[in-house]
Amino acid sequence: MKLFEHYDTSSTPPTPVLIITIVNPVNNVQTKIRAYIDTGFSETLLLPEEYYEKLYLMLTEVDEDYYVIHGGIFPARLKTAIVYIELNGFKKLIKAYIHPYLKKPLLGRSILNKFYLYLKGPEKTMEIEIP
Amino acid sequence: MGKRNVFLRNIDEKVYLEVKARAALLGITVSEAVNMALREWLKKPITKIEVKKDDLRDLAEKLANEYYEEGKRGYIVVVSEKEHYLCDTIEECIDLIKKLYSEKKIKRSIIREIKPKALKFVELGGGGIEII
Repeated sequence: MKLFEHYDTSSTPPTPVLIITIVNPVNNVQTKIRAYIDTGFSETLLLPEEYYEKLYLMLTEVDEDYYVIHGGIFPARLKTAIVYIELNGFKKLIKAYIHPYLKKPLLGRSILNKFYLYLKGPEKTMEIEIP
Repeated sequence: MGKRNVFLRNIDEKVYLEVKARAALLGITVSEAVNMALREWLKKPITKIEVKKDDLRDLAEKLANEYYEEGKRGYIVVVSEKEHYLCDTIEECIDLIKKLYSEKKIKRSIIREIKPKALKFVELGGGGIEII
């Protein structure tokens, strides 16, 4: 199954984004988000704090101690919660991370490694194949 | 970079005397020693973070340790100070929370794996640009 997406050209330089659906598995509250492809992020999905309330993630919160250190000095404590991630037929229950200061959702390697991604930089488009 | 005069109150006297003695041994002033110490301190990541008190999380921590000591494994779902459940998998936890939520019994829950909690760091590139 192949998908085509456009880069977000409002950022400089343009950034590849995937439109995915995040679903709370308990109450089915869901939202579509533009998740930025970030191969530098080791985990699944990193969400800005606003989604914690918006998706009622207090219902599926996991008690863990996760931290991220920005620029080697600035730490942030992350919340974790269980969500469904959906992308054109691909649906998986994952542990998402919620960051108190993050501006945009980031999609990390633990999800990206499940797809084939072909970045067509000069055309500002991206091809995704879900095996 | 220019120099600035700073007057500090409440410096630990023992620490100050030791710094003074060591600085004398090294042939440097106390100010130079303080500058060196502050530069080293600034290189280190801040590791102590204030964590808001959370009764459900505290209870989950306590229960996880107790069950772990008893040899139990799996997950705990804590829904209130008086109510918690044991599950084998995350999927089972979600099904349980879904049931309790549909019965309007809960507004919040905490899922906790029965094992000692470890501090974990996730890798995130970008040097901070993602939060600016």
